Amino acid sequence: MTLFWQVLINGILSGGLYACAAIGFSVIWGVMNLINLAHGSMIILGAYITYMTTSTFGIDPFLTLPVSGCALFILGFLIQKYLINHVIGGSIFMTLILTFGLDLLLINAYLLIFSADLCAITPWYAGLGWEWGNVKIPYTRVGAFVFAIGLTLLLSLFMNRTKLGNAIRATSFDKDAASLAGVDVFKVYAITFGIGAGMAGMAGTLMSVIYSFSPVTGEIFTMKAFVIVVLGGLGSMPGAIVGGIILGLAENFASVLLSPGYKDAVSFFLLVIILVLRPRGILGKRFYAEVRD
Amino acid sequence: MREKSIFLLCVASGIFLSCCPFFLSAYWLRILTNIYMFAIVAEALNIIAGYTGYPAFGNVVFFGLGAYSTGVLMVKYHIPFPLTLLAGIGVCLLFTLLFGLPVLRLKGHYFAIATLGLNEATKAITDNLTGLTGGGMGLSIPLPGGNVASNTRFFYFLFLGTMALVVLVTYFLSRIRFGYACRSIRADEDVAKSMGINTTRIKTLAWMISAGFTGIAGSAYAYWMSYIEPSAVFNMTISIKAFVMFLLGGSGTIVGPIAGAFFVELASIFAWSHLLNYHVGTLGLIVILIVLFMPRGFVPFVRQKLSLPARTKDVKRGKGSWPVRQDIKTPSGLLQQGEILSLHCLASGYNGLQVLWDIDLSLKKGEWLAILGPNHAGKSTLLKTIAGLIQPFRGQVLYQGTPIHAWPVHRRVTAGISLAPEGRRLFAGMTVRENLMMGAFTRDAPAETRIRLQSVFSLFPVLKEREDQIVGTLSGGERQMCAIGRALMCQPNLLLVDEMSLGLAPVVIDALLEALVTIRKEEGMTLMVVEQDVYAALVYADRGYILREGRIVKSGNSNYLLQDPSIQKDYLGYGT
Repeated sequence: MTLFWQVLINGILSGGLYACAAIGFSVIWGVMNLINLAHGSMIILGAYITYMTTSTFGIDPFLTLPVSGCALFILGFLIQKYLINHVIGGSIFMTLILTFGLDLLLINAYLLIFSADLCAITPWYAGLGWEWGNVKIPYTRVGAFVFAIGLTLLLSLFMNRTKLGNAIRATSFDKDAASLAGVDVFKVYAITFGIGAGMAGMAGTLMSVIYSFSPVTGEIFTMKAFVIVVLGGLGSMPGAIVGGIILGLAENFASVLLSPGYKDAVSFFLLVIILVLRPRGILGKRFYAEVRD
Repeated sequence: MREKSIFLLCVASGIFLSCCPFFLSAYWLRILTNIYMFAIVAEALNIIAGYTGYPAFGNVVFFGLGAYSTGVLMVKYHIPFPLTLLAGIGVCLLFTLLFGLPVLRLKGHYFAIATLGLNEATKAITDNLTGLTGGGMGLSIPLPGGNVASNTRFFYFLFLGTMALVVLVTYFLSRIRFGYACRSIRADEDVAKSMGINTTRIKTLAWMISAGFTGIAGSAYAYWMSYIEPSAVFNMTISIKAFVMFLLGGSGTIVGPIAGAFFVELASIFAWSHLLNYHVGTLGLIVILIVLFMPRGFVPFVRQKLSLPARTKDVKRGKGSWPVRQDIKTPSGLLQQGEILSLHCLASGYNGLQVLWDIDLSLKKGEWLAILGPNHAGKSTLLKTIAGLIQPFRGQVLYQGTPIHAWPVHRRVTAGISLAPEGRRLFAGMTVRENLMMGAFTRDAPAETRIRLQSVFSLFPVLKEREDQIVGTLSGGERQMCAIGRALMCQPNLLLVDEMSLGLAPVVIDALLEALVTIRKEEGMTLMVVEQDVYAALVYADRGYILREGRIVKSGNSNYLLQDPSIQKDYLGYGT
């Protein structure tokens, strides 16, 4: 029974982080019908930024959230403005390939700058946590979970309550109508990509406290983001949280019940099954930019 | 003739490549063999992604399945290579049959992701079936007997032959009904279905052929390398490289993917040997540059080729890249007192398809202008051109004396031009209030906007009642009110209204017209209204223009037009 609770809690805690890692991907996909294959590498960049900031200034990793968020926002904004906006109306192949090219560039850059070694960030409270009987809950995981959920909710508030957020949503529903309302669609795209990248960067910061990372560990996060978006529905923030937690639970239970090696296989089978049964996701409705197809 | 020369070129290069082993070094033979392997994968991908339009991003799963079929059968059961090759094809076909039905129901990104998921799942299973596959340790496969030189030659011809075969098969398929069916699925699956094409069968078949060839490549790769591991043969990079190759060469063409394979592999070998540390990044950079600077060669080949065969020039969005005739100076002599909008020699349309010819039109401040005409006369195109949603081919759009045809839409909105588009185009998932507030996006004063919202509510009281409802729950008339309200929120000088009355009851149309009359009286707004309902349009309008087949055929005062016998006959259903 202890094991059950431990796995349940682990699943939920990593699920929250997954939600945060997926939400930027989801927003970019939802608003622009664009799959950002470099998403995982952007998460890794956030992790490296935290790594450098903490090792240089010795501050707590959680305090570097604004740094990684802002840096990635700027990077994302520029990428969209100067690269992706030029091909955004074309076929989905082109945007897929373009972001893949970006992914390769980023990975190469990390390899040159940080080498291929695994990095890990260990704040002083890394090994500590609450204990109930044999169930252990590390502080770092709880911290990452709280921040992850908080950031996701904040983004949700931004999208629903602010003028700019509404413009982003409107653009995702009908970009021509949005431009008729006076929205500069290409600027909104750039901001949206910036937000997506910024969320990825902050997710990277949160992730770096828990997992070790290297230039090539980003790919798995892109894949997980896919799964979560499909589970929760495109562009949906509550959906991302639900999808993230389902994935977290499925992975953790699978690695205990089957073997740790099946952790990823289960998530991808889940993906295929959900796609086939409910192509719009569990909470998904026909929503956002995909309607344009 | 052209086809014949391409055919001869193919045969010649085939003969040349077959002769290569007799004068090239082993190093170069190895490189060429590798290129052929990628060419096979890219051409196989072309069949499902290029011809049929299904982006099978995870097609590398068949490469892995082929490789592991050969590996496992040769190592564990000592079966000779040719039989394992066939077994590999069999496994791939079975896999496609099994997953094809459910997965091919998905489209676009979703299909891409599902195939990606299949690949990752299969990879993970292969990784974990340690007893059978050796797991992460990989499998060592016995080398073929014979010396190194003969082996090199064997694999060279094996891959070259398979490449020739896949090219021939693609050529053959593109000539028969099957190929046409594939392309019609790519163009529009629903239409294909309604033409009696069993799309499920065609798609599955196309994917099976694609899978079979990818499997052969994987099988041969395993025997060639004599060592395989899951991360090498289920490697997404193979799929993505194949995508780059076939996009570069031209998707949906026969030799395109082969040419792409040669280019990408040679470039990446260059990068390997000269820029070892930057090799991955160089590949990325090549990809980015191709997408950015050479997209016209192959970008939405799919869409261009099929949906718009007559497409001559792609009118790019953004700044000044369309051919606008600049020699027309502002005809200041014609600029009349109080003129708000004037069009001169305007020609416009969509993506090379011209819809409007030589439109000259002027509109005075405070005027109500009706644009009339039958379906497909170009009325909506005219409004869209004025609003900036499409760019004119030639001619000028002058707003308050300033040429605005190079302005993006949002700038025109800020300047006071607002369009209530055809089909309402509300933001489907947002509430009435949110939709209206979006209309005031260009306004920065919240207090002013709140007052404006109240005046729209007083114009259409029903919107006030529905304020917090999602617009999807509104009736047709309420949606139209919301669309007009949204267009009014930015306090435009010039309001363009497209097909307001379409599908609405006469009572509702009257209410909408009354609202326009009110707002015009209160704010002195200029109106340009496209209408099907000719009588309603002319009763309220000051003047009217009649459009037919993209040209203005008649214009004049409303009363004059209402009296016109031909209009009475054509549009009003009375007179002689």
